[in-house]
Amino acid sequence: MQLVKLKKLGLKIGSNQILQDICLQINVGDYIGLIGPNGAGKSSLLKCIAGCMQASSGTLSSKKSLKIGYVPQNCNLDLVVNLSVLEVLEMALEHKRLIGPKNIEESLTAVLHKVGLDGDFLEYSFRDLSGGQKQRVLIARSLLSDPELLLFDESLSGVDYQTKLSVHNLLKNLNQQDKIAIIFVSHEIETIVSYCKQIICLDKTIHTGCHPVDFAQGKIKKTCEISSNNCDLASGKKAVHHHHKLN
Amino acid sequence: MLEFFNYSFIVRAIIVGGLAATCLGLLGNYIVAARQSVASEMLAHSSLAGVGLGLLLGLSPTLFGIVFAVLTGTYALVYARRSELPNDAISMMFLLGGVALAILFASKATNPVMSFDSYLFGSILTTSWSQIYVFMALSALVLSFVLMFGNRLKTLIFDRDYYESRFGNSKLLELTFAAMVSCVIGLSIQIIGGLLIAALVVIPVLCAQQVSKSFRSSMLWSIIINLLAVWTSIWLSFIWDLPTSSLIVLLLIGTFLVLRLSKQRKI
Repeated sequence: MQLVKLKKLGLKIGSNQILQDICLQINVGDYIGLIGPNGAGKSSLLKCIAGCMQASSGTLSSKKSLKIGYVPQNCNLDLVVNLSVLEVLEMALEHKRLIGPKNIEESLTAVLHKVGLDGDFLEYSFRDLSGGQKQRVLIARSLLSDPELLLFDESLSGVDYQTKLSVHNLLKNLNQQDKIAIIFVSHEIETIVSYCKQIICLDKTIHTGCHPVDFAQGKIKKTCEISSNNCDLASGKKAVHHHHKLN
Repeated sequence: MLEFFNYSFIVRAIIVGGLAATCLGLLGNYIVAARQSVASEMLAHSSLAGVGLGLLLGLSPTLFGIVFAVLTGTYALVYARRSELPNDAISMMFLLGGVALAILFASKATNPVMSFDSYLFGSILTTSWSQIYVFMALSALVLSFVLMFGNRLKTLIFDRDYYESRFGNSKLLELTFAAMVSCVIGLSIQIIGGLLIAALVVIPVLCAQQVSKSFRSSMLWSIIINLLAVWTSIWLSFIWDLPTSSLIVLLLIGTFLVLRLSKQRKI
């Protein structure tokens, strides 16, 4: 089942063309890795899908009342003023007063268990957590909105290899067991290749026909073609998947 | 000691000081978290420019002060923030502009009743009941706002992208917050003084950060520290005949140093 469909999506900020002619379809159960160099527009694409940014051209249509979980790249959660883990999770609860304090704590503890943390963490200061624990808390926060699509913007820089693997395993479980579609943005081609079912090569627009490793090494012009010419979703043909199938 | 409470001007000072300490301590956490500490000083100084104009025209200086604060506050905290301009530099520009206008207007004002000095340095002991009633209404508004939208505001300040992915456009919330902070600061300058009001916004939060691990406890501690500093200062100024606003600031700084040193010793 289709969750989100982008057709010739473009994003321009001032005179700077950030994204151009993006054609993409995201379906239930997808686990998509999004790679590309710095400034390729990876985070902007996620922000457009998440609703933080308005596309300047093209269309973005999504399933009716689609629930999206979003783990942003940049946040100030561990800066300046202390926040407890409970307060970070509460950000996802719009009507927390209607639920009642006891039920809140139960549901927050349950979601922490799901990401491999115990309930004691609710009282901890977010700033005092390790990089991996912070990621788990942010994933837990995104899970509180009961998402069908999870957007994970590369927030694992500066985190050790083992922690990265454990976060990836967690995401893999969410994808396989809970059937949550995931778009994972990263610079790190190795982890993307290991975990994601599909890979999208992005550099302002989506490139197809190139091997992700070549793309990651900057060999775009020699081996890749720009996919936008094939964007023909409106005609009712089978939607073009602009990602590189690895298996 | 009890004689202290026999004076009605002292009782009025305690009430209005308590209200200002509570509102500013509460809102201060959001301001410091948003890295807008300079903006709180900017609001006070642009408010002084409004006060100067009010004195010059012979109209309500406090009302003019609030209007000036709201105008600069909404521009600096909402619109300039969305532009490519450096935020702290914009705040500093308005701060300096506020001082310049305040001096200009005050130099031409010849109102013998209201003194510009009382707005610069504060005169908590001359607070009237009507000022208290207005402050009570504003405090009720601030508390309701924090109770209803505090969680959203916290989300916006700490994680803007996440906020916008969940709640969409943040402009209305930012405008409301900026207007509210501007009103509280504009109304408080006659009590604490435009030069020192930012102390009640910023320093209690710094103090609270030494003892709290959550935003909620930081808000609570900020209010407690502010209340203690304001009420102790009123008492000390009564005994020693010293300016209340100076005592408030010095007590707050002293509290910060003590808490900071004791925290570092524990580490």
